Amino acid sequence: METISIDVASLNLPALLPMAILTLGALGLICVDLVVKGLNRSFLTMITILFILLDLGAVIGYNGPSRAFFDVLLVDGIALIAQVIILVASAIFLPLSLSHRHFREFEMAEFYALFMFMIVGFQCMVVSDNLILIFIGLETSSLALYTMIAMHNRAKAFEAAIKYFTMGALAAGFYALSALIFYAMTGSVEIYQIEQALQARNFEPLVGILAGTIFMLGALGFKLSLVPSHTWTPDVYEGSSAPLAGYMAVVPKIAGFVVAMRLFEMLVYSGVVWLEHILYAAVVLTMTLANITALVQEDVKRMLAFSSISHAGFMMAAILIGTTQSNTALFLYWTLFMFTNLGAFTMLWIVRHRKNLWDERYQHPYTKFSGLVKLMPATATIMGIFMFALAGMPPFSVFWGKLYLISAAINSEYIYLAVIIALNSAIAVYYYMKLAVYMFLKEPVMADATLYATNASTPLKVIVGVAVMITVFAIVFVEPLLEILTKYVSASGF
Amino acid sequence: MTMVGVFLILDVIWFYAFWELSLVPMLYIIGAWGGEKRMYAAVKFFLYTFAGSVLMLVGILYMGFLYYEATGIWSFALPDWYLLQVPFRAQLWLFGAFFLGFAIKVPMFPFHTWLPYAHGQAPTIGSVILAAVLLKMGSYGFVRFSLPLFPDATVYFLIPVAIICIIMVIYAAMIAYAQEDMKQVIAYSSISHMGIVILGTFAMNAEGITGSIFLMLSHGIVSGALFMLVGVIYDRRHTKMIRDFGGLAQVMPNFATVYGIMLMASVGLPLTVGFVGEFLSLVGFYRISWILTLLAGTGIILGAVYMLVLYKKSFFGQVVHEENRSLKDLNAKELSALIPLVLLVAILGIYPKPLLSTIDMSVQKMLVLMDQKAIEPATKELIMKANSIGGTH
Repeated sequence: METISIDVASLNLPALLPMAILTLGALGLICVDLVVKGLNRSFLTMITILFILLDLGAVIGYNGPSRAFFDVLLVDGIALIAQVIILVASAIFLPLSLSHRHFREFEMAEFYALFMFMIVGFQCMVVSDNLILIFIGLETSSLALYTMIAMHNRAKAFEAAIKYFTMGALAAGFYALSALIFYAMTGSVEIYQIEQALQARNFEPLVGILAGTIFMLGALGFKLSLVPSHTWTPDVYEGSSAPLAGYMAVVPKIAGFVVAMRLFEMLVYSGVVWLEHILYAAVVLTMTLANITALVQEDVKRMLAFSSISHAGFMMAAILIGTTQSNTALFLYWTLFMFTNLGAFTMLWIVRHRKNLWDERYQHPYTKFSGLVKLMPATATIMGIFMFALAGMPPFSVFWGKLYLISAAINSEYIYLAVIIALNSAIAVYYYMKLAVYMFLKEPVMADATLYATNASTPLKVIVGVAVMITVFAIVFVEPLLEILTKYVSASGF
Repeated sequence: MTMVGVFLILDVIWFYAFWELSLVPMLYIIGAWGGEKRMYAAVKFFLYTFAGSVLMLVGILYMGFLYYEATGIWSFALPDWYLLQVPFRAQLWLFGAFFLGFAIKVPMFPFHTWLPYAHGQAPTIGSVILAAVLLKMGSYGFVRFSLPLFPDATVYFLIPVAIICIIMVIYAAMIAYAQEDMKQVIAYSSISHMGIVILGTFAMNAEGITGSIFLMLSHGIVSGALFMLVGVIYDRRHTKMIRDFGGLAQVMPNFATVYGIMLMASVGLPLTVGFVGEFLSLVGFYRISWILTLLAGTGIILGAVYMLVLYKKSFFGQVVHEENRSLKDLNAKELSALIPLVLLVAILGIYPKPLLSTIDMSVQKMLVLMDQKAIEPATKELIMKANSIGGTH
């Protein structure tokens, strides 16, 4: 037996610090909950945010080498940006627990511990190019998320959790199969070594790569809700509470995008044309089908679910294009989308009513918002701003992301893709505008302002205020943000 | 008003931002204060124009990319773009992308179907803004972007565009004749007139373009005033149907007079503001093709037909409906809004020179630029031809 000796310095432990902080925080919270009963939800929220901010500090403050911990960790530019987005999004979504009405899940310390574990999972996904660690991160975060959805404790929430879990298990299986195939072909689970090995054997055998890619597309496609593995999205969004649904539309996807970026860019640049074609088809189908389905939705939350699928399609287009500009566009788009989406889902959270007064089936049917401007002008206007922003109306936030994305497509000579993106934005306007039409141009169904905003509280209003500010004045910080993003993305070679 | 931004700003991205933003207030004006089918009209208007302009956005970004490829610098400033010679094939595509955005706004046949709904349902103020400002955003776009940026494509597509214009002129005039609603008559007459505006723009010479710009202005005054007048009568009677009127001249003499003047200006009676622009546009296009100009000229005759019939049916003859007997004439507030417009119609109709010479100066510069930028010999030849014969400028 050889003795294994490892130099502690070579492990580069500070790179693990961000994940360690949250893990310890979560474990500590569970321990405290064992001893102290009835912890207040404000305390739990604030302590969790504190840990998230500490984590954020550790992420930004890290300045060691990019490889760490047996080369399993890869702390490069996109890992950094993605972590910042994940942590900021988590820190601003979490205070949505402080709503006017009390919900069971937000009173339990477990929820917050799970929330922190979930973030650790996402972080593991983005700071690694090791297929096994990515898998662990994926599963940690997913399992925590399924549980948190179920904790909402409504029949629909259980349905959503189980649906998400079953489909997620299938996706996990796909992922494992794909990783297995790549390992079988190359003898490695590190993406960069897989790339080298595949290049060395000139991307043969094709069948193996095809199978690996298809399984990977299935697995990540599930996480990113790409057509055809998107069917869970509307039901899960509908069943989850609005804060979680909004969170799911943003954070798991950014983690998925980073993994997809690491994996698929290697495959797209392999020069095997059909790989690009598969991805192209997935992108176009995702954008278009989701958009068309969103047109006929009767529930705002389901509409937002389909629209988020379509937004994810735009992002996959950025990965398909694969230039520095398009990858930067992805992060820019997603940062701006995050705030607008946060605003939209917070508004849904605010107008949540205990009973489904407007429709038997749906909680937020369009009719609910009829004539809202006559009852609550400020609420209606703010919601309208979010809708127009999501539709890509200038000069609101998402427009600048879209602008940069289309321009990235054009600059890489993907003219048809650019036109398809543009046409899809035109289709998307209809269903976003539908809500604005209901709010501003129709007569109220129930002229009782007290039915709305039953869940509003000061923290929620503050969050909406921040989201509105960022959405409306996005133009002010798009330029500096773009510079920072470009710097980090190009530094990590994407 | 967000529409102001479209005409002031040369940075093209901002142009696009304001272009889109101007839809939101219009959506609300039509949708909230309009007639019965206001929501359908507002949504149709919004979707049509939005769909057109997103493709224009792709065009704008592609243009920026071409500029970058040629010079190595990113720029979305229009003065920079003017200096760029765009390859011919790219011009064709870009012209198409911009054309869609502008043509839907103008609105050109066959993208005009949103306009009658929007006008029919919009409140008076909405119609005035639509006719006087919003439609001109499209024709402005042609003069500002399509012509100087893509001279070769403009010449390449000249005849098809001209044929579309003539269809607009004649077809819209015929529909206008068949309308029973006063407002729809004016709405369709707008389409008909915009046909002549675009025709003048594509004349590729100083007369035509200057005339078309002047016509944009005069049509803004005249159709705006006509919509205001319909608003006046709608306020009193709550109907816009021609058959509900008749003999109004006896009851409301001042109203009839102002209406008559505006109508004549709309038809293009010499010495009114409408004549100058229409005449110059047609004279300009005569150099390109006399037969097409002749066809477009019938638009003026048809215009006289439907407008005079409208006037005859609602103002002359005996008062048939008892409700109309007690109608009050224009009050001081209405007069104070309309008299300045009447004065403008007369003054600019008799002495349009100050305005024309100002417009002419910039148009001359633009034509020189187009001539310099042209790649295809056919383009240079056509610009030469359009500007030489009997040119006095």
